[in-house]
Amino acid sequence: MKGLAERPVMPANATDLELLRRFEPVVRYTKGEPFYPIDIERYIEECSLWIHNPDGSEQQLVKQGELCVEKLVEIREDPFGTVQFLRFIEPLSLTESAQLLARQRRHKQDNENIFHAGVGRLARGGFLPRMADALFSLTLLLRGRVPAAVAAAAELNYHDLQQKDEKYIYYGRLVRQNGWTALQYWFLYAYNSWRSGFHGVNDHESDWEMVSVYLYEQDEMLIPEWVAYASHDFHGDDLRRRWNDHQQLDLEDGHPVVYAGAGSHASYFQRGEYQAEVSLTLPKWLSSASKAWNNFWRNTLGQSMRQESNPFRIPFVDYARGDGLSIGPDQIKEWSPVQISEETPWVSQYRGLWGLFARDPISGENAPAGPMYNRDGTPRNSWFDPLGYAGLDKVPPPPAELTLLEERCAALDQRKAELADKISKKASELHTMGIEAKAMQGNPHLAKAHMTLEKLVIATSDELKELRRQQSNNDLLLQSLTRRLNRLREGRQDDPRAHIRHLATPVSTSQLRFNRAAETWAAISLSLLLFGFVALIYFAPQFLWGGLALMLIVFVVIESILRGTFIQTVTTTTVILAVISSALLLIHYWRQIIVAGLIGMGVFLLLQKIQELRQ
Amino acid sequence: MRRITDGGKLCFTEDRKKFMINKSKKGKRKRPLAVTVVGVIAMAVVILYLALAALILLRLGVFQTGHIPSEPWLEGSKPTQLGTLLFEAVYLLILGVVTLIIAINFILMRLWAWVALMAWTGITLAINLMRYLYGRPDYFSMLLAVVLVFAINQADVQQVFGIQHREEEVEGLG
Repeated sequence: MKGLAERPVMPANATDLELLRRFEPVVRYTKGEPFYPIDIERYIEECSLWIHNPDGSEQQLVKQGELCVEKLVEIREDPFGTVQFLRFIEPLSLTESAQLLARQRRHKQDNENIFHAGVGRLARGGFLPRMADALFSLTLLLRGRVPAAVAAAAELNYHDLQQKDEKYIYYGRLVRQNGWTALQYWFLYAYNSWRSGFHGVNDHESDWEMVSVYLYEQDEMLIPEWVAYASHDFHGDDLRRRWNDHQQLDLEDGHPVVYAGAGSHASYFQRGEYQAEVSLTLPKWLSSASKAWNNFWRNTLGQSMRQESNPFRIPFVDYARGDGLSIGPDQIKEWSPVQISEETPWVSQYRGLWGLFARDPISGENAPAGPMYNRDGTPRNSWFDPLGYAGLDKVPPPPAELTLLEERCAALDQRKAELADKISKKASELHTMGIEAKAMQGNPHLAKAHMTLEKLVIATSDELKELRRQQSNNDLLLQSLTRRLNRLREGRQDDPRAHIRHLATPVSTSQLRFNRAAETWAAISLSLLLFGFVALIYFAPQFLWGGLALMLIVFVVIESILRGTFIQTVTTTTVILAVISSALLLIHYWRQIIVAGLIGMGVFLLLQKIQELRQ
Repeated sequence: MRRITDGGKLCFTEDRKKFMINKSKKGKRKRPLAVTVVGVIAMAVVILYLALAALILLRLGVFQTGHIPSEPWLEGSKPTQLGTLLFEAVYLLILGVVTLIIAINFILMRLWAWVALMAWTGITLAINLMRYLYGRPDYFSMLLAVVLVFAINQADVQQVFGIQHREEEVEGLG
């Protein structure tokens, strides 16, 4: 097979740790990232253990400084609805919060580890998505959220821990399933600071991320074939890249390179800035109304619609620039691996959250559970089904595929012969029946027998038709399998991206960078609109609605000029106004409209019939 | 759709380029019926504006005497009757000339004329809706604007003006 020579291989009898080390990833972070993978022992020591009772009350089970793995995994009998959780940062007073935020600012400046978002984040969404964004920010006041000072305290706390003993840990797990050897690399971060540090969607205490490498065995050697990274909004096949897909997968000395999202720690195959979208959960009626409007707009009015024009989606950016710290073999910092499995007590016996339970109903700000469980305590898919998680459960290892194909081709060949035989017999039977039926014609005394035979002819004919359909399908399948078999025998590989339906690609710079005017406008427009609304209420209440509508139109036009979508905006606005006007005309003149419609139809039919008469 | 940029300046996409090439190859594009009808309506509006302006000027005796009456246009800060009539005449003349330019270019199927007509109709509809909200509806003007919008928004009309290509061009801006 082509390309195999350049792949790193390991003997099949290598130890689990040797295998994990040979294929461990290189993780590249974005400048400004404050958290790197930590070991669970030090993290747990810094935490207190709590339970959230079904009645809403919370109770501390183990104090900070007293918690260890043994205490964490102690079996506790709790009623349904109880949530166990760790707390990395204890509740803070207002003074402490202010001090911590000031210390965090100084700390960032001292370390010169400062993140710059660059121009473009605000202008990436249109006017409506920005309104939705503002609403989303406001919902944080109502939903449970992790306070900003917690992020500062976590950053300082983590920094102190690293100062005492600098370590970068991953938890490695090896699973053998269906001919594949899956290597899983789990990373625990003390905190996810995507929202507070990088204008992202959420913050939460602790963060678990995972990267998988899939190997197959050939000639007593293990060879890497696929790599899968956990990422936002992608599932199954879309998570994995083939080892030799060099356009999609960066390798460094035989180690896959991961670009970690700033604050979110989501894993990406390519460095860049990724536009993540959060869809607001809408009430069913609003969602249906939106669908109906889209349908009316596209099909009834015949207007074009851009896919990304959904106003209920808020654009966020996940910065995976890879310009910060790099951890891995031969990098500035190296990994300290720790092996885990179901036998590891903290993996299997602690089902609670690994950080603060912020009581966020949509879970964005609640801490995640460990590698083996979901937040609700159910088993995590990526743990119990490492192949299915990356869509590999249907993919045999390459050496097995050849054998499977040969077996399948042989089976289909046999089926082909069987079908040919059956078809021949049935066709012959049908001929005989045909002759008999023909001979019976003109003999009234054979009418009953003729009728029975006719029914039999129809039934046999149907059977023959079905056999021929099966033969055709069988032949087509056999042809495609034979083609594939020949291709594999010649050593030709498939398109490495044929399995991907949605490819995560960084947004190009030209799409990201709007000019300063657009960015400034995006930043101030919403507030300006609100100020204008207030001014109308106070100074010209008699023109409130008209003034507001006019203001909205002016804002939208300015926005469209800055974003280069003037024509589309003018068209959309005018068509919407025309639809409203049509509705008003319909309400006021429905009788006349019906009469005009009927007259029109009458004239049309009359003209058609006259034309027909003339012809 | 891939956008082609030239030194940061937005240029045509490949589709738009093809459209322009086809346009020049074929020489004359077939004018849809809606374009002709709208063009004729716009011309009728031009005639109406100019005729009204001419009537006002006739009433003021401008055509008979060859000059504007030498009475004052303003009385304090308020316009006199002559001032109001002159203002109306000039307003109608400007409106007529602008509409004439748009109408001619619309019949010649120039993109900017389509955009101008659309924007104009949009403003007319917005004013009509405001009037409706304040209890002074003008249903005839509303109906005319609605017919105009749907007429110039038909797929074939958009195609001859290259509007659909333009919309694809901005895809990806989000």
